[in-house]
Amino acid sequence: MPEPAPTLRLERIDKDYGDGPGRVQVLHGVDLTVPRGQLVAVMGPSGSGKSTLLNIVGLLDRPSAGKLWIGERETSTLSDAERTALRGESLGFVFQFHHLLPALTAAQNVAMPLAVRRGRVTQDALDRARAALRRLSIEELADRRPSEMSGGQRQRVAVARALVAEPSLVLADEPTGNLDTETSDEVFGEMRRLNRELSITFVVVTHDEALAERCDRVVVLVDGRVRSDRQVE
Amino acid sequence: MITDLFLALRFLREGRSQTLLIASGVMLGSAVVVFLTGLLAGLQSSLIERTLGSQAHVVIHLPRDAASPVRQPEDGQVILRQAVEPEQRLRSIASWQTLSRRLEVVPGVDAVSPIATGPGLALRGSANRAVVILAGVPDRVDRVIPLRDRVVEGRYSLGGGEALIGVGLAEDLGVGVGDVLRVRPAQGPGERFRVAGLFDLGNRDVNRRWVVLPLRSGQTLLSMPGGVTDIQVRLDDVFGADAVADRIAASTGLVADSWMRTNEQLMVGLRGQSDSGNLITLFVVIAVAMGISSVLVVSVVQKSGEIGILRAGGASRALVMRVFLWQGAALGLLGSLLGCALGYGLGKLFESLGANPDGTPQFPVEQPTTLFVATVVGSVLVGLAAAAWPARRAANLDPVVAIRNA
Ligand SMILES: Nc1ncnc2c1ncn2[C@@H]1O[C@H](COP(=O)(O)OP(=O)(O)O)[C@@H](O)[C@H]1O
Ligand SMILES: [Mg+2]
Repeated sequence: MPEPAPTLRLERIDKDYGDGPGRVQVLHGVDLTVPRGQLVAVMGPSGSGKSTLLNIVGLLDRPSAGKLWIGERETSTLSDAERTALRGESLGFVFQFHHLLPALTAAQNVAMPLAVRRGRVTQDALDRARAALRRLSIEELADRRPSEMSGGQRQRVAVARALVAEPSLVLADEPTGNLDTETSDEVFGEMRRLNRELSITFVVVTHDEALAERCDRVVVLVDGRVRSDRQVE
Repeated sequence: MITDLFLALRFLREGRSQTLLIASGVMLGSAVVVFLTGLLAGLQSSLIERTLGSQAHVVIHLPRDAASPVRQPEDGQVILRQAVEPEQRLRSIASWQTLSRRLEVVPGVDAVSPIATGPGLALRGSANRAVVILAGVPDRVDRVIPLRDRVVEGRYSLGGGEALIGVGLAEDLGVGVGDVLRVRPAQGPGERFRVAGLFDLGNRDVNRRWVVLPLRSGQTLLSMPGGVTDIQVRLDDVFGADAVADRIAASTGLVADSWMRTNEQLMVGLRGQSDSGNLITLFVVIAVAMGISSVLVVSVVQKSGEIGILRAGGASRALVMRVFLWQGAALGLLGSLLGCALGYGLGKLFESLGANPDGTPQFPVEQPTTLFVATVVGSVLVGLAAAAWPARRAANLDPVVAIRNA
């Protein structure tokens, strides 16, 4: 039986900002292959290029050199519109700040990735948003607005939003960075559970050693290079 | 619901006070335009109506006799008296019946009235006044210069020996309906007419000078039996007068005076009014556009993180752009609907403030449905145009930067 394609593959990814003497190289030849269903923690000191890497993987930014596959698609030749479409189909995002739309209820916020792809806010999208909230055991928040929720609740809603379109890969940049230890534990626990239950691949940037130890694999980035890459026992 | 429209409406609702503020701005702007345009239109039509109440749109006549040179000066000669006085006798337009029939079928012509007109004198006892004799066929006269409805005493009737005079002349001569007065041309004997009715055309000069007679009597008095001096024409479109007059002049070789040229001062005044009205509208449009634009730009900056996350979630640039275009259009629509209501109310208020004793407004405000439709459509377009720049900014936000900086 042929090996299934990995969810994600990076080959010699470089990224530099600026031109001429002001040019800085942020990523140096990053190689990384993530099989389907893995939960990868990305660690490293501040400024080491973790967010840059995640944005490139998330098709929000383009690498200066190297190749990037999302599933079977090699992305370097895709147009902006194709990258946007692929993002909507295959990727989910959780950021340090929840970025929920304050004007919308939790259910509407979670439904947005479906609604922007379909061009319509449908009942089906709202139903699926409720289902995603239920998965995170926060269905009761469906009709609340972000201003009526706690920080942990907001971040759970943001996780539900990342999952609603059933992406193959969820990218989370310090998703618990703004939460206290206990809440952070709970939110991470949800992601771990969803990863196992739905076999969704996760790449999670974190500074928290304890959380990293609960992942399948830890990649450490230093000065834009992969310093270490180990499986967690 | 369409996702971009959905988001636009939520964003507007979220920014409640900003939305209300800018919508009130649009409302005031549209109200000013609706009120002012209506006021100017009303003013213009009453001015034009008053002018055209006693004038035909186009008057066709023979070239006025010009002084004709007797001889050319030769070398060393000086000619002190260059011309002979034009003949005083009026001349008739040749085959005017045929011409009238031809004019009636000219496109844009509504009615044609051949008349014999010239100076005269009206006498009653020892009183006399210089008048203008205007002799025509009653029904035709009325179709070109609506006179029947302006008869305030007596009846509109021009049987043999009957005359219609203005209220001013009646007062000057001390005559009333049923009285007899004598009318005579500049030279020669006169005839006696019974006053059938008094008219008031709203113009003092006309009310004091016009004597309207049956065509035949006028022809006799002006010593041009069977002839007419002028053919008066009424048009469907009053502002087409110049064009129609030019065409008639070219095809007949006669002189065709358009009311617009005869009343050049009025036209200049009207144009000045329109120009200042347009200028005010332009300033309102600019102010409204700047208001909408600045509110939306602020909103784009405030919402850049949310826009970034929408883009990360698969929203296209075009969708983000439409979210802001909808907001511009919605502000324009909401504001102008309210503004139309306010402008209409102001118009009615203004009319009721300056009412004539009979209840009709002294300054009628003309606000046809098209004015409201144009205001709403225009306002939506201004809203869209004003939103274009903020919408572009939003669409071109780099999601990475937007998310990081938010
Ligand atoms: N747009 C940019 N222009 C220039 N330098 C940038 C830009 N974005 C990030 N960097 C630099 O790249 C380096 C890595 O940043 P980042 O990926 O955010 O690190 P991390 O997430 O690991 O803290 C930092 O030194 C940062 O200053
Ligand atoms: Mg970072």
